[in-house]
Amino acid sequence: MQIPIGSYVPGDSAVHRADPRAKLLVTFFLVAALFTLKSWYLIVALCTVMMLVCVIARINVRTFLRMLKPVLWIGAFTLIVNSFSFVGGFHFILPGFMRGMFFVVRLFVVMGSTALITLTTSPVALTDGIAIMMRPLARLRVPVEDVAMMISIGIRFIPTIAEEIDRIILAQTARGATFNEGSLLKRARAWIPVLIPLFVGLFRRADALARSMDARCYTGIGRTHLRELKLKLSDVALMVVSGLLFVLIVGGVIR
Amino acid sequence: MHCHAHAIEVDHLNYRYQDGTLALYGVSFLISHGMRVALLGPNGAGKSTLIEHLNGIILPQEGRILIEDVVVGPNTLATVRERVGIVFQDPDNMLFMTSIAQDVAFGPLNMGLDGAEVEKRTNYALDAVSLSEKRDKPGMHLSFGQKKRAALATVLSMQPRVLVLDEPTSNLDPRAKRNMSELLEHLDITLLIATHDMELAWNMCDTAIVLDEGRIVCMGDAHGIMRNEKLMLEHGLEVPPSARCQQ
Repeated sequence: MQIPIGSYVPGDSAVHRADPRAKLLVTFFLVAALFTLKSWYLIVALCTVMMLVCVIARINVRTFLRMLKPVLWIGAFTLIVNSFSFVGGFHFILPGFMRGMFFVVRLFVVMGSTALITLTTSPVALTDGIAIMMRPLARLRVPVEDVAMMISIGIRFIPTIAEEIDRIILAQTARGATFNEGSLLKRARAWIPVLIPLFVGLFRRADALARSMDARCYTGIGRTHLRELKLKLSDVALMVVSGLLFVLIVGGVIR
Repeated sequence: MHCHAHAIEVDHLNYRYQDGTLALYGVSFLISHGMRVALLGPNGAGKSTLIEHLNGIILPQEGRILIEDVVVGPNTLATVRERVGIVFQDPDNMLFMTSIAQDVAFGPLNMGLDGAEVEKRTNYALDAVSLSEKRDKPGMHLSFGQKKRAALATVLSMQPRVLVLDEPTSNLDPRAKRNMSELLEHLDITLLIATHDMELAWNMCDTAIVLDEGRIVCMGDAHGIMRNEKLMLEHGLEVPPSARCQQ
């Protein structure tokens, strides 16, 4: 089972070196601005910026496109639904197609820009960044460090869980279970003997994991960090410029 | 080096599971600094439950445990866990960060040490288990033998005074087993090893504790106990091959 999450590509480009907080904030501004955009010029401009970042980060085109695969079907569906009309007989409508394309490109830019973060930022740096950005919430008694740790462990265990599912499927298949025969209901039922041992195993593992974390002094409080993140001038400049552009776009100054 | 007489003092420890089963009953023993103790017993004897008491993962229901001069209790957990390091049987449950180095740094970071000190300890621990080259790899990409060594490094980096190991050689092939026992041999630290690997216990330990059905059957000279075939068989154990060779 292949899952395209946690697909960090190590590197030493300017994009890799940028502070994770700056990357997260810039992406947030970009995605938020995208939803207020109405002109093609700006969409094309943002696409160009995204491609440029890809080139600077030396991300393989194929790797990047693979990250867009999950939204391929949604994109195709959006385009088809917008392009054809049943009113007065089934026919193609160009303005609908153009509107559909606008949505699709927007969707791909959102997916692409968030994919760029996971491709160029290690999960540890990313969770450190999220934890620091969430720090003000600690005043409201939100367990910020715990949340960051949960995200980090969650990312780490995705491949392990996928392996576990494969193993259980194999064990059930060896005992005569079939997963792709019969009606939809029958197929859905066939997954019950996979899901039950999976969840039992996951709860047992979570318990063992908690004990091993306890044994190594984990309390979620007073934990230090290996490398404290420090914002560089370039990171600050990046955040300010993207923030300004965001205000100008949302304010309608740039159309 | 240590001014405290005993590294571990367990005094009349009782523990009952929620379903009422008695897991430990009247367990008492003393372990001095520098001792290497084998904890022997059949499956279900209470070895893992006893181990989990030693750094407060399970708190004593009755009786008490002292780690040096500190009584294990809800208010002393941080101190106790810094002094007693536990290496669990399944290394997959100890390697949960995105790289081995992060896993090894996990304990020292929880202890509130600064970045430079954590880096130093991480390097030392990875070096001790010969895994420096794999430091940036995630735990799941290692062989089982390497995972076991990495799990040991995650505790060594905390520089505990007592190292407790639960089945350090289980599921290892003969070479990995040899590597692990050589590694443990060179550690200058108080050891308590719960194991079914009688050969490891024979070669490594000077003292043995036999635990069965939650009670201590005997404690004393490791070789003397392990040579006693009747005692070994009675408690689901066996005389190690090396002991037979000497007889």
